[in-house]
Amino acid sequence: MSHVSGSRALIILEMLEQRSRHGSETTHLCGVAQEVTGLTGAAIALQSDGHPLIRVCSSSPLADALLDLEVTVGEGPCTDAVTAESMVGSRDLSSDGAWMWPWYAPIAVADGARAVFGFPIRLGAIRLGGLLLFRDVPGPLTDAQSSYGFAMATVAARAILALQAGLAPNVIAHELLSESSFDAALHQAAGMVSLQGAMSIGEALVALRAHAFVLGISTAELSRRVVDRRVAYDDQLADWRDDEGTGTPERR
Amino acid sequence: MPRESVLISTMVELADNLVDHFDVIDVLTMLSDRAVEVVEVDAAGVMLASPDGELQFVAASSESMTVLELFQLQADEGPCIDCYRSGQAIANEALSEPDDHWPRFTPLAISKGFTSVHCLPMRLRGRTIGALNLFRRLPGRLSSEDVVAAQGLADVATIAILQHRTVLDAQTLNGQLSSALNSRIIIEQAKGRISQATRCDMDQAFDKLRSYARNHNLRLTDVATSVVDGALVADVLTQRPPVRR
Repeated sequence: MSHVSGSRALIILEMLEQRSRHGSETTHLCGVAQEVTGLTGAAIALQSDGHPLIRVCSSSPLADALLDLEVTVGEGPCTDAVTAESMVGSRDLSSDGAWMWPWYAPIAVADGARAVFGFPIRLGAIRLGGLLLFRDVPGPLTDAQSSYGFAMATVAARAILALQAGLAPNVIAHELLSESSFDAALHQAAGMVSLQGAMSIGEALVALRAHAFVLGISTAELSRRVVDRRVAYDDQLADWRDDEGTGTPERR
Repeated sequence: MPRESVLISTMVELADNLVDHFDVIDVLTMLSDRAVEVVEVDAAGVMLASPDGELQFVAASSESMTVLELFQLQADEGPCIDCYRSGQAIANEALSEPDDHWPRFTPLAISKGFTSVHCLPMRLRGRTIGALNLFRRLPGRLSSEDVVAAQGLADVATIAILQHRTVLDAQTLNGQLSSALNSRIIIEQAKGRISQATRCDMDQAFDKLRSYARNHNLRLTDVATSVVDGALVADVLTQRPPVRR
């Protein structure tokens, strides 16, 4: 649909969709992240304003343990990626990792991780959390692994917002496959709705998707109606208001 | 202003930006504006390849939905993808229907009043990272001088992405591209808030954002982030800057 053939996001989404056919208990994001990068493991965590990381998923018990470690010691690649809003990594935890994260590195090495990489999960100004990728041997990421890391972080941002909008995990990949990865109207509409409903931009995006789902139209279509001022969120009613037909008589 | 003078002043303006308050969206918007001045075209814009391998719109000479739609569609098909894939310039491509090659792009561009399209690759040591796209309303061809000047601007745009780094590994470049594309999303989110607060169009919202950033000597993306986070109230953007002594 809206993807250039060979796009990494498309490959990731197709893998997610395939996996979601076999059970919907988790989002499968971390398993796919591990598989496309060919690294030892992956984990995804949410983080909001200085609160500790909250696990979304992990590909293995070691991935789990590494996230827990970051929460316990308060430092590490995911935490840094979220704060710095850029990719952060240590290609050798037992040397350069030791000065980056003096508490985190020795325990992570003892647990079996030798190289760790954190990617910010964000959508514009919406900061959601971080993606952790790691390996049990030292060394840098290849170009393809780095590209997949960024692509995975983008897919994760969209998937997490879709989950928050109440979409069932097994339909998310299918839903995201039908959308374009960049829709100016969607982000503009989120900005408008955040003021209309006195909510954060992330909450506005979630509200837009949830309402589109209720109406049975695409999020892109609802966004266009919001930007054209045909639909608005009414803070007094705490509900959506359809302004179509209630405008000036000559427009009817 | 003659072409040479515009090109030289663009370089000076860019040099100022690179050392001062560099913002990739601001610089690429400026280059798109200059492309319209220097080359005989009516709209210009830049698309960048995400680390994903997808082309995404980042900056244009106009923020109107008319123009944005033309760029957005090119994530799927159009001259930018062809130029990006081949790494070769597309010059003086006359638009006519029916078009089997660009079945959605061509009718849309014609409906917006454009007669021809041009696309210059943004190349960096063997890797194409994006494209500068030009649209023309009047019939007739661009001169070869025009095409050379446009390629010059595309090259300058590439340098702008590098942010004065001489050594750039793929991972750092991925980071730069990802950050530029994310900045564009922040700007769209901010445009929505400004448009809602001041009841203006999206292109006016962008102008407010940009003038505020310039007048206060701030980066465009930082101003947009403050607007989205609520740290900067959208109506404040219409106020005049503080008087400098």
